[in-house]
Amino acid sequence: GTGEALQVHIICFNFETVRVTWNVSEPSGENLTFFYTFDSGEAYGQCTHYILRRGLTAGCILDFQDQVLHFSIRNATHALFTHSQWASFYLKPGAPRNLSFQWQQEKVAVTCPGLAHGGLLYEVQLRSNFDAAWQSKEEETCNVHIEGLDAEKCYCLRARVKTTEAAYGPDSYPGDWSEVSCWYGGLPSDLCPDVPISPGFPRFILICS
Amino acid sequence: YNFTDCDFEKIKQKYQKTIYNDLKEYMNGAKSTQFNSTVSCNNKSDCLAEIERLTFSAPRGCAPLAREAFALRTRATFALQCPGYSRTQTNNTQAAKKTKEREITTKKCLEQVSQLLGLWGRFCRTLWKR
Repeated sequence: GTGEALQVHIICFNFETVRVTWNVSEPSGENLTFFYTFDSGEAYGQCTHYILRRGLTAGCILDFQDQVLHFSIRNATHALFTHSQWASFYLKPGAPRNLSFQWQQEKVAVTCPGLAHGGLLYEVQLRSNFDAAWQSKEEETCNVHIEGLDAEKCYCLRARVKTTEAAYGPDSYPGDWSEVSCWYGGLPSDLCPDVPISPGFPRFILICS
Repeated sequence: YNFTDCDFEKIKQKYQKTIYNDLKEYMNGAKSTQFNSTVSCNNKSDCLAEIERLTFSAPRGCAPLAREAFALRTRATFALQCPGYSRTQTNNTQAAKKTKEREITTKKCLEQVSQLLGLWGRFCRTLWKR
C-alpha cells in the first residue's frame, strides 16, 4: 500500500470477516477513519464497525467478500494509507468443525464438512503414544485416510486447514488446529497413556534368571 | 471468446502444476502482494476472460508478455481445454517464439503479472470439491 508510516495489519477470518488494524497514532492522538469498497466502480464507504484502543480508532471489521478490497485510512485532512488487494490473500481459515473418525482395523478416515472455496489443503496429524512426533497427511478435500496403523496402539489426532500459495498468495496464514482427539482400539479415549519416549535415550533390557 | 464451456478443473490443475511456477519465476522474487490489485473477476469464465486479456495484451511500458513461458502455456492450455478456442486465435497469433533473452522486465510488467496471479488465484478459489 502507499503511505508506509502507518503499520497496517490485515487478516481475513475463515471467509467470514476481514479485520484491518493499524498502530494507534500517538502522541498526536488523531482519530483515523477507514473508508473501503469491494467494487472499484463504486464510491468508498466508511467503516461501520470500528475497533477502539485507548479511545482511538485502531481498526475496522468488515464482512468478507472474495473480491479486491480497496481501502484508505485517513486523518482529518488526507489519506495516510491506501491499498487494494484480494481479501482472500490474507486468509486464516478457521479450525475444522464436526470432525468424524471412521476406524477400520489398521486405518482411519477423517472427514469434515469442507469449506466452499478451492485452493485449500486439509491436513490431519496423528501420533501414537509411542511416537515423539506427529505424522502428517493432507488432501484437497476434508476426507483424509491414514493407513498402516496398529490396532493395539492408542492414537491422538488433530486437523487444520491450510492455504495454497497458488490460490491465496504468499501472505495468507495456516488455520488453527482442531482440538486433539484420542482413540484406543477405535474407541474414543480421554487421552493416550504416556509411554515416555525420549529419542536417543538408550534402552537397557535386564534379564534375570 | 466465451470461456463457459472449458474444462475448468483441468485448467486449474495445469495452473497449479506449471503456469503458477512460470508466473512466480517471472516475478523473480518480487512479491505479488507488493502491488495493488486493480483487476478482479467474479466467476470461472469471467476470470479466464480477464486472464486472457491481461496475458495477451501488451500494456504500455512493458514488453509483450505473449512470448513468455506462462503465456505460451496459458494459450496451449486454453487451446486444449476450451472448445473452439484455437480457431479464434488463428488470425491474431503472431509467431510467438520464446525470446532467449527476456526484454526489459519493467515495474509495469511485474505489476501486470501480479494482477494475473490475483486473477488465477480467484479462479482457483472458485473450484472446490464437495
